[in-house]
Amino acid sequence: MVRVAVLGASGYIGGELLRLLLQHPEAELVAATSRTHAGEYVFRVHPNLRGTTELKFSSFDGGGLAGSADLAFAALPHGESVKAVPQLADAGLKVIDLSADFRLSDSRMYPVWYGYDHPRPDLLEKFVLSIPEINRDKVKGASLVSSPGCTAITAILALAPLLKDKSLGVDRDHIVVDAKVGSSGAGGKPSLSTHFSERFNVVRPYKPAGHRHSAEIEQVLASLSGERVAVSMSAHAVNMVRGILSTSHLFVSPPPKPIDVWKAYRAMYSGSYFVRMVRDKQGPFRLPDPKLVIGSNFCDVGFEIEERTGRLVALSATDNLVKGAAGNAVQSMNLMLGLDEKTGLTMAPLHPV
Amino acid sequence: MSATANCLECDAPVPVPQDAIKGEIVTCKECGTAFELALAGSDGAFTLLLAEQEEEDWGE
Repeated sequence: MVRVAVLGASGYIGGELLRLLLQHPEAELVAATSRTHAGEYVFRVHPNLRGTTELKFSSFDGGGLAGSADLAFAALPHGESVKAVPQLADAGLKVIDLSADFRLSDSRMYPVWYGYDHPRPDLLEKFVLSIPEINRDKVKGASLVSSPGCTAITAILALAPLLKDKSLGVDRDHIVVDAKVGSSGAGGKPSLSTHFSERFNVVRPYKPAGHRHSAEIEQVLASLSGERVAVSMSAHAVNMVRGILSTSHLFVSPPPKPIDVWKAYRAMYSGSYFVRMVRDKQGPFRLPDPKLVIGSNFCDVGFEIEERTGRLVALSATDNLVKGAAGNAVQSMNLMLGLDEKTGLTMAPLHPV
Repeated sequence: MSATANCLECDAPVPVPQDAIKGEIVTCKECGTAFELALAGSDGAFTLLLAEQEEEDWGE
């Protein structure tokens, strides 16, 4: 058994990590830290966990964790993680960080995208940005892992095979990602914009230009294709609690045949349990829909081709808190520990939801 | 034991039952495309022909 701690465990991602780790057969949850809820039972903040654990939140104690845990998940806000994680990394713990603080490999990008100078640029090169379906061999040997943002990972899984397979001839300078995101993507801290009366029934554009996750998407796609890739991203808040649908538009001249696109996806994902190809000729769910992945670690991927304009539409759907965050992190942990990457994660999605 | 043809849409293997007859409909497990079995020649081997399928209509 590996002894695991969750930092920032009172947020939605922290709660989802607890849910997954409490039923993980190879993990023993030894600590769940929260600055604001220290001393409270975990289930008072995450009521879905009542009856599953007697654990209480504790304050963060880097030195204490170094002796009591083998691996820590950090689900802290951007800018906070970079203060806590180095203590754990320096003490030799394996760390999986779910903030943006260690996602970008180039420290010069932090002032551009996040507005601060990175205080530990030396650590950036030690972190592996983990999407197991794309770089599982690197994750297997890593001690320090960063998990991408939820919209980034969702978009990347649809785009990666299309950029890697150069025979498709995708225009790398004009890729547009349009993401629809459920309310839990905004985190658990309430604000006027998340107030029920203001949030319910919205199709609210946010960050229609300059979305931060563009940087992660470009970084991963450029490393796969070996060339610079330009991604433009827009996000919309929609009337779901969980879920992301990413609709990406790529331009290809001449447009590919469906069978060639299928082959590109199969070449990358044929051994990947958590990526499901959905491009069905039957039934009401013919392309990916977040409704069919909720509660699971699946990412459903599909595509359509508009021959007239040479547009290739790549679609992907995830539960933003599972494959978009906590599930991807636990999958990464499994690889880091030499376990089957599916361990503790094979739950089927809920339906109907 | 069944023979296998490849889906014309997604290239996945589509099993053709040993006792299949001309005109029978088989469906690709991967992408749901339906095919009608047609005789490819005089040796009794089958080929796949796209079968008519219900299209989505969202009020276009």
